[in-house]
Amino acid sequence: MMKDASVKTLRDAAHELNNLCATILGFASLGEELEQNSAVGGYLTEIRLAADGVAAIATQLRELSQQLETAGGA
Amino acid sequence: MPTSKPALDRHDDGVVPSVRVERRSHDAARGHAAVATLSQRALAGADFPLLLDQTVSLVAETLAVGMAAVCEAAHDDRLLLRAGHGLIASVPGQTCLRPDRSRFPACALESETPVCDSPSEPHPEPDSLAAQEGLRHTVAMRIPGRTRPYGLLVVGARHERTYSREDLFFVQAVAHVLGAAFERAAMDHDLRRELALYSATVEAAADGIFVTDEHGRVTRFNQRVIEMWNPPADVIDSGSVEAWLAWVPTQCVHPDAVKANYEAAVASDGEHRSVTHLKDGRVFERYSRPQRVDGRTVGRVFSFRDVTARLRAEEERRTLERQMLHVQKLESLGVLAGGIAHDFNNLLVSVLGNAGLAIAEIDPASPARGRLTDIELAAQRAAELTRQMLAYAGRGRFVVQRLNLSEIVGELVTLLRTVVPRTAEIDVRLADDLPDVEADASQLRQVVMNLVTNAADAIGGTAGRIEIATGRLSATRDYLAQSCIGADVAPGEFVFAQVADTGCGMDQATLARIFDPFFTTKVTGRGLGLAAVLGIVRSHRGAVTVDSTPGFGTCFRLLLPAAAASSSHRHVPGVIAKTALSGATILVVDDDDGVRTVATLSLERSGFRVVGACDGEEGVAALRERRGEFDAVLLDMTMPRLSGADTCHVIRQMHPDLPVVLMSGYTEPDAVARFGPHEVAGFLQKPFSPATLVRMIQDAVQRRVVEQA
Repeated sequence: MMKDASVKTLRDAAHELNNLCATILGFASLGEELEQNSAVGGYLTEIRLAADGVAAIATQLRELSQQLETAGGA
Repeated sequence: MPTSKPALDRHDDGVVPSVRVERRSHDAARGHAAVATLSQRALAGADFPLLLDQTVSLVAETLAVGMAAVCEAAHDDRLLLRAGHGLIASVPGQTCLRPDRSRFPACALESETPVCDSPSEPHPEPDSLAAQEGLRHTVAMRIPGRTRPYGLLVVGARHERTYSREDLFFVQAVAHVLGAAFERAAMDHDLRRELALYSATVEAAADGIFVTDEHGRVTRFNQRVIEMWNPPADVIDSGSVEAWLAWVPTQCVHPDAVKANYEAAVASDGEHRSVTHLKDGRVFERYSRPQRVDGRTVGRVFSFRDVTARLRAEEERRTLERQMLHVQKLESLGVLAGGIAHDFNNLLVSVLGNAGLAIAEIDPASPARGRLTDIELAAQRAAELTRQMLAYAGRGRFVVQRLNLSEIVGELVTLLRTVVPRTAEIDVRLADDLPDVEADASQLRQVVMNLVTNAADAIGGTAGRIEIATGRLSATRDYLAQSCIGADVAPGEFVFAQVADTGCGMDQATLARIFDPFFTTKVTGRGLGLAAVLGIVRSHRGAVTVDSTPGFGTCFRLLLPAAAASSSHRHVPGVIAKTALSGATILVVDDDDGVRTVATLSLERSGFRVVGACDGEEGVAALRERRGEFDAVLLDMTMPRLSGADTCHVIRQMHPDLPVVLMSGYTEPDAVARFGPHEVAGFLQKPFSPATLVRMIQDAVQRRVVEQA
């Protein structure tokens, strides 16, 4: 059922989310190094963990879009 | 009754033999001449009844007898008088002979040679033809037929008469000629019937049938061809393929193809098909095959079928299937978007919340401050992407209230001018006295903003004009069927907002895709603007029409159903006096550790005391243990064990006036629909910033303070 635009939507959304996650993870990691011994460092750790979760969902979305594309092309 | 085989004339007539021979020769010659005459007429296909009349006259004249007649053997074994010469009492077509009652005709019908009859006086069979006509010497000869005798040729003399061998041969020969003529007449009759059936079949065909011969002449066409092509009379009468090939192309969209297709068909010597589009919109399928007789091609049969209705039905079916597929895609994406929204938004709450808290606490001089700002920006973009996807799927945040569309657009005008290039002129025409619509104000603003942004992009840096207008109209089913979104919306009264530009316009291929997510013609566009419009309009049960001409501009018209007249007043937020909130205690119930932590820290930083609960059951237990201690509850909707809805109902029973603020990654209608109008104090759409959370909790607590006061 999921073809064309819908699958492309998933793929593009996953792609964009992964980019955003990469940004967040990168900045969070850099920030953690700079604020190792402060409360802010704890916040940045929480941010990194949450961004890991977002990246996991984005990865699932991307894999789902690939499966749907494969099924659509079969 | 004496009947006999031919009674040949005797030689005691006193005539000199040489004279007799000469007379016989003369009689034979006359007989031969008469038979030849009859044969010629029979072969020429003369009218059979006329031939019978001529025959009896010729026979009577040739034999010099008083009467000659032809009787036809009917299927009831009677003999019907069909033609007669010298009749006195009998009438052709009425008089019948009864072979079953008269021995003479019965014998004649069974004999292969002439049968003579010379009855005594008075005639022993008073009802017989001979008795009725006063005949004394009669000869009858069977007229042969292919399967049964046609009838009898009867010759009679009312005076003494002997019949010579030549006379009898003559009678026999005439009977055989009549038999052959009868067979021919029967075959002609069968052939005419076959031709009539063939013609009727061709005329009864639903297709137009057109036949040409091997020399390019028109040999046949049915009335349907005339109805389909409507040629002038001179073409119909011409009998010339060239005349038709000169007329038909004038009716076709592609005139050159007509003659080329005809020539290709004739050259193929086999089946040939083509499709012809007429200028009046009809479409004909043409099919042709060679016409072969005894294995030789003698012409070609063309059939034309009007397939206009069939093609239209097929196109309608394809359109319906596309619409169904579109709906299925939207629903599939909606389910998926709703499914990921919960987890996704919880994670974004954690990112945004911790970033907000960190920014509040970090040393302004720290190099990490810039990183935190970047993180917040990226998280906001991710949240925006989620909102756009949810809006596309028709499941975005949704607060329905009665609104005046002109007021909504009017409030946006100042903001709209900032997105429109200076080279473009904005013309705003807002209708007064519009009926209200039931809609979400923020989503309507987003729709108008997206449409105006698109209009500005279409104009680009060149001079142009954008017209923004509102109004009302009665939309019929036909009108709505032409819309890009909302073809299935019920007809009725609508309020519309219209954004028209004088920009570059769009071709049909672009128009067909503008509402697809991630489709964009802009260099920097993400292609979610109109996809979000689609989702929002569908959520409002509205419609969108688009008129666009490349090089001239585009007009989007958003239609929303007019709300029924109501006396209910619009929601106007009351002014609540700020009170000191320090010490107010908030129960935060959420199964997601990140969200709960961020909410707790955010509220604590604003002076609230916070008690956390990891699900509904734990939250209810905290309320029981610390009865009267809480000033508000922040409650997640989706939790294991006791859901947010069930938890809220329990709280309402325990503390009817305790403010409950719901939070969810799902849409507000889905969440709020399960509660009464005053059951919840607010709805917080995930993801949210610490500031938004604090503001909403502050509002809820302050409202309670005012109400209690």
